[in-house]
Amino acid sequence: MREDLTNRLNQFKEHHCVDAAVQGRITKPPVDFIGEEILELAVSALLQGENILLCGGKATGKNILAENLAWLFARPVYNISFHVNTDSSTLIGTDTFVGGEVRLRNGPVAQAAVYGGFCILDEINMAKNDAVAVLHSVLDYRRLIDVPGYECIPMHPATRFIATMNYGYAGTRELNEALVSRFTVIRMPTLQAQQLHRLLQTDSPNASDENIDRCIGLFMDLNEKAINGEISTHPVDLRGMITALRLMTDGMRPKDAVAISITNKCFDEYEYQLVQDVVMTRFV
Amino acid sequence: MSIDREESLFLTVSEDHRERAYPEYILLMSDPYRKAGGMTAVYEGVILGGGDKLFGLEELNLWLRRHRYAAYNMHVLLPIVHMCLEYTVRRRLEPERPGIPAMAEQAAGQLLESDPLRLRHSSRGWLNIYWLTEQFPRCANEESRRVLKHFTGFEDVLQLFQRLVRDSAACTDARALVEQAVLLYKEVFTKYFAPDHSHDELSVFEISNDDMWEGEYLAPDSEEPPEPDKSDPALNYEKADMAANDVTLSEEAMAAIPEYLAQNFGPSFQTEKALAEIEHTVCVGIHEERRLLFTDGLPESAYEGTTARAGALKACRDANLSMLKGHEDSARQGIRSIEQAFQNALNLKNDPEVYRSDRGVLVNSALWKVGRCEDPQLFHKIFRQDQSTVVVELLIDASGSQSVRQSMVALQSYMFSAALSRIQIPHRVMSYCTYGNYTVLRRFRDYDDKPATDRKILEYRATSNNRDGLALAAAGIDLLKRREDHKIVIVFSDGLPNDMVSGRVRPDVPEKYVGDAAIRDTCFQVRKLRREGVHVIGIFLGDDGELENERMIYGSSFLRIRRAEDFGGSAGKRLSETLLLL
Repeated sequence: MREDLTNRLNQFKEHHCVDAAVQGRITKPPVDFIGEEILELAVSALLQGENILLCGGKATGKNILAENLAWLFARPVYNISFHVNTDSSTLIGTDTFVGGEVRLRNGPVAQAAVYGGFCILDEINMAKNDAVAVLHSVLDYRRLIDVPGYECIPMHPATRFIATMNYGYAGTRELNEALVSRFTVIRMPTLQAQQLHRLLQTDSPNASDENIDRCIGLFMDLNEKAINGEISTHPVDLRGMITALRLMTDGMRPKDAVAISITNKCFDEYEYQLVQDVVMTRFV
Repeated sequence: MSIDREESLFLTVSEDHRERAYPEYILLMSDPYRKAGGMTAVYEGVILGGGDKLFGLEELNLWLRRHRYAAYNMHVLLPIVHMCLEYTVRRRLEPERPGIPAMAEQAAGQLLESDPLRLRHSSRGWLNIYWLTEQFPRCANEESRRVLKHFTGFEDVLQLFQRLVRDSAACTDARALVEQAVLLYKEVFTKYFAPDHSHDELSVFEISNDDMWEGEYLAPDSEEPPEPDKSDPALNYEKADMAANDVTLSEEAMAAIPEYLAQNFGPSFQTEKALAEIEHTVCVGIHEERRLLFTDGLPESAYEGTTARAGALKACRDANLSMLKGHEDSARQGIRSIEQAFQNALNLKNDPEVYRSDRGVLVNSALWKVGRCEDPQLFHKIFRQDQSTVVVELLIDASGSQSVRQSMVALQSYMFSAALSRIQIPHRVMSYCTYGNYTVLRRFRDYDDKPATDRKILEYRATSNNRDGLALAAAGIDLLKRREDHKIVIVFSDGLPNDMVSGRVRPDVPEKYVGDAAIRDTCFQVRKLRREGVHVIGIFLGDDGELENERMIYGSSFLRIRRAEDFGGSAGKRLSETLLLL
């Protein structure tokens, strides 16, 4: 990372100490994000106080980047997976009864606001636009949560929101302008073979180069097929590919490892055949 | 673009996913292998993909064409080029795709076992057998070993043959590869092995686009012409596959189609511009140069008068109406039960689930428990269900095969539509059939029409062929524009997609809409819609033999019914299940 950014990052960490109660939420992500340029873009935006929306296809490393950013900034992470029924109470919180009185039981957004956490809004476009409208005041210059019946919760100055979205998935929707305008948007590029190699090597240090290259080759083949509309994005599964590589390293026959981690995930017979054929060219 | 396994591998191995046709001589070279089916056809995708990646198929085609002009016998040269290309691709791509030799072995096993290329019938073919058994000794069988005995005393020639084929792996460009094959042609094949005259036929290689030859295509047709089957107006899949070669409309018949359609189906409800846009989007690939007609049907006046056409139309509608009249009570009951099934599904889907909890919405009436009970559970946790909206598209196959049960299909579709109207789910009902170049989509009711429009379904008429893939693609355009959260398409068909009356024959677009090509296209259109978030449900009324193909097309969202009488209820049931899963 650029030196000036590293310096500013250090200053940020010095300025914003973390409450002991949430120290456990600061965890090192399992793998480092690979992609210097994108990382620098995201760090710059966050240092400027912006919230970021990571937009990209499957297996582009959106969540890994989000977790790496929280780790770099040394902030506690609050993760919310959005779904069609996500509503304001899931995000902000609901009433509860403590010590003889009704109080607000903070949801992840409110907790991030209090402790200066990094709130990861995963697949933000899965929820309905009206459900996420409660986030507007949190994300813009007002930086506060106004819960009816309670005091306003102001945002901790270190609080940031990182949303992720995959535009093409079935069940996703368009984000409305009001919400998008409150984010800076980073388009995540597709991982290149070299980056994938580094990623797989880091994850399975004992894996042979031959197996890594075969897995990458297969992943790239399937990705190209999905981009060109020949198959769906189901088999383009980097998590599955990582699992397959681990299994191969553990002694399973490569073909079997790929079958249980990738091919068998195609429940559609037509697609299964096409994927199976590609696998056949790569693995004996 | 719809693809099969061979094309899928071609695109992947060539690392170029643009849709493109094989050049002329490449097509001729690989045709026998692709027609052999099984692993031979699948592996052919690898060979062609590898050929494209290493040499470029256009470049190879260019050099093959030059040799054709130089009066080489392409019957002999093309198989040699194929052998060299296969070996080169296998050797050169093995490092990055180590599975290729295993695929080659399986393909070789098939070629030696069932001999689809008739290699055992000529001495030049024996060389192929020799090569396959030499490369894949495990595939050798009794028959191939017997053939190889003929080569006793020819050891030097075989050595030369092997060396020349192996040298092809070092070729760096298309020209070198073809020239290497030519060397084999001169030094081995034509020098030592006599031509095979036992199956002489007029060479298809003599007829080429390049020759500007305008005569009739005289390619041999080894298939027997199909037996006419007058008893069953709907030709089944196998028959259609054979018959398709012969049923082609003349230019005059084609010219008369638009007028015929206007008189029998009604005018288009799309503007010319909108129709051109839709055709530009969906009439591609196998549907290239096909046309669409979206119509709301004929005006009432078409049913009046004494003409034969008016009489036929009226008789058709009257038959449907009398079917409804005859089953009025059961139809009413059917509508109510389908409606009830929907209503239950919607209630389950939309009603919020409420639990007692220690957080959530405070329940005042439970406050007395404070200090008195250990775990007072003073709150309601409300789990709101999906309030999303749904739109349904019902596509009914109106091909001739449905004519025997036309009135029942009309009645059942009417019941289904009426039930959807009663619970106010926007839906469109269309039937589809294909006449010559035109696929007619007859709209009975549009998404937001009033319930009274449902009765228009009784104008349903079954005739001609069905191009399911094109109908799905065309219907999908309007559906995808809808604002509802969930979009569902229900296709009711009684057989496989089949458009055997193929309209204009185009030499550059050889595929007809029958058999595998039709299934592949429909498979692709279904998946394309699914990728865009549409739920496609197939309801099938047909023979056991076609079940596997229908399952291939619609996957798990597929339901088979035994009688047309079950259609309304089954469609309702499957839709209710889908609603619950949304």
